[in-house]
This record gives sequence, C-alpha cells and structure tokens, in this order.
Amino acid sequence: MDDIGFILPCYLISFGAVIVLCWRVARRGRVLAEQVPDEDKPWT
Amino acid sequence: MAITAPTDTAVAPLSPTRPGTGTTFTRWLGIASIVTLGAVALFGLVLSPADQIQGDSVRILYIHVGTVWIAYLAFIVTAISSAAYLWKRTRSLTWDRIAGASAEIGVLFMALTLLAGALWGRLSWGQFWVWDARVTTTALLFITYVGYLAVRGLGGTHEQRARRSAVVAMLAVLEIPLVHFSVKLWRSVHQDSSVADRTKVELDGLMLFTLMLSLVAFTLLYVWFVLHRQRVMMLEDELEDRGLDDALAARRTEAAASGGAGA
Repeated sequence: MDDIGFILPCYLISFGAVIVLCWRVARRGRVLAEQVPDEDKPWT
Repeated sequence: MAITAPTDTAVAPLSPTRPGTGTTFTRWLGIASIVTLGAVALFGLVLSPADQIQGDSVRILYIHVGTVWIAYLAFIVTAISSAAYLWKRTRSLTWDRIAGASAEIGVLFMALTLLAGALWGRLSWGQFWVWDARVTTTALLFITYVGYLAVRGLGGTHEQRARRSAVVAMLAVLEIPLVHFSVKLWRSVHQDSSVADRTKVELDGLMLFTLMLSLVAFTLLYVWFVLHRQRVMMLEDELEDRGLDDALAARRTEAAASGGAGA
C-alpha cells in the first residue's frame, strides 16, 4: 500500500481518540452512578 | 479483647445492582459499534480497492466523510435539542444535556475531520493546509463549537447554562449551510459531493459499501456516546444539586447553633 505513513496514522488517531473518549465517559458514568441511588437514575 | 473486622457498609455504593450508565440497549449498541468500526478498518485498509486517480489516499476518505457526517449530525441535533429546550412546552434539562453531549462528540469528530482532511490534502494537493473556502469555513465551525462548549462551562444554575448555551447553539448551526455550500459559493479546490451526485463520479461497489459502512459505524457510535454522556451529565447535575443542598443545610445548622449560643 502506498502512503501508509499517512493512512495508518489517520485510522489509528481517529479510532484511538474515539476509544479514549468513550472509555472515559463509561468510567465516569460508573463512578458517579455509585454515588446516586437507583431511583434517581431513570434508565435503571 | 475481641477485634471485629470493619464492615463495608460505610463505603458501600448506593447503587450496587446496576453500576454505570449502561442498559441492555446501549450494551448491544456498543457491541454493534465495535463490530462495524472493525469492519470499516478491514474494508478501508485491506479489502477495498485503490482509486484509479487518487490511489491509496482514497482510504483516508472513509474516515474523513464518516467523521464530517457525524459532526454535521451532532451539531444539528444540538440545535434541535436547544430549540426544544427554549420552547416552553417542551422545556426540560434533558434537552440541554442531549445538546451538550451531542456538541462534545461533534467537536471531536470535527477535529478528526480536519486531521484526516489535512493528511489527505498533503497527498492530493501537496500541502497539509490550504486557505480554501471549505477548509477555512470548517475550521471556523470547529472553533465556534469549541466556544459553545466553553459557554456551557461558565458558572450559574443548570437553567442559566441551558438557556445561554441554547441561544449560542441556535446561532452556531447557521454556519453549517455556509460550510456545506462553500464549494458552490466560492471557487474551491475541495471536491464537490461524490455520492449524492453520481453523474460526476463513478464509485466502485466495494468503495461505496465501505463508505456507507463507515457512516453506519460512526452513527451507531454517536448514538451510544450521546446516550451515555447525557446520563453522566444528569448524574453530575444531581450530585452538584445534592452538594449545594448539603452545604446550605450545614450553613443553616451552623447559623442556628451560633444564634442559639449567642442568645
């Protein structure tokens, strides 16, 4: 594959950024949800 | 002397049954996102053919088009949710949280759009950045929504935050038509639409499939993110309110105690 030095970083940075953001949101949700009773969480 | 082991009751979580902001639906959504994103990487990097003119650099466009689609979608959802908040009949902080969550992922995807575009531009135009109408207006749109997130971070009550950020969102969304039609309004080196107008460009079947797969994968991810993030925002608001209530109660007790001591 030509230009792999441009193509691969594009995929790695894009997927990496998305994974980091989603992981942070899921982790923060887990931490905060432990401090709030179930009746204040409409999704439970 | 008997030594008793400390119990865990003091530090036990309030919600031991279902920790986190996930539901069965969001779990399946997350799995679907991971699978489709993996497929995008496989098709985009390996299975789809190189373009006759652009060569392998076309593979960057599967990310570029997918991310800009989500950025547009996210900013439009932000505007619609903001309008729903401003309208008295549907006023609810849930709309404000959806608007904020959508804008956050929109800003990330707009940044990724600019990055992928710069890498593609270096291969196709010979430069990472050109002061082209489409590229410049996209950068302006990105900066506008960074400003929107900054406005959300200002102090005040939840309602104040919601009202002022909703007004900003309603103004910011007006930039999207400007970005989209910039290639028609001004002379631009950026290419026009390739999928909507099939008379100009003939896309190979596998290339079109990879592009559509990218749109589906990023859309699933977007829905997952907005659902989780707005729930996290709800928990943050709830805990902030609770902290304020506790502080007020403590202050009242303190004032009553000092008043009683002084009497």
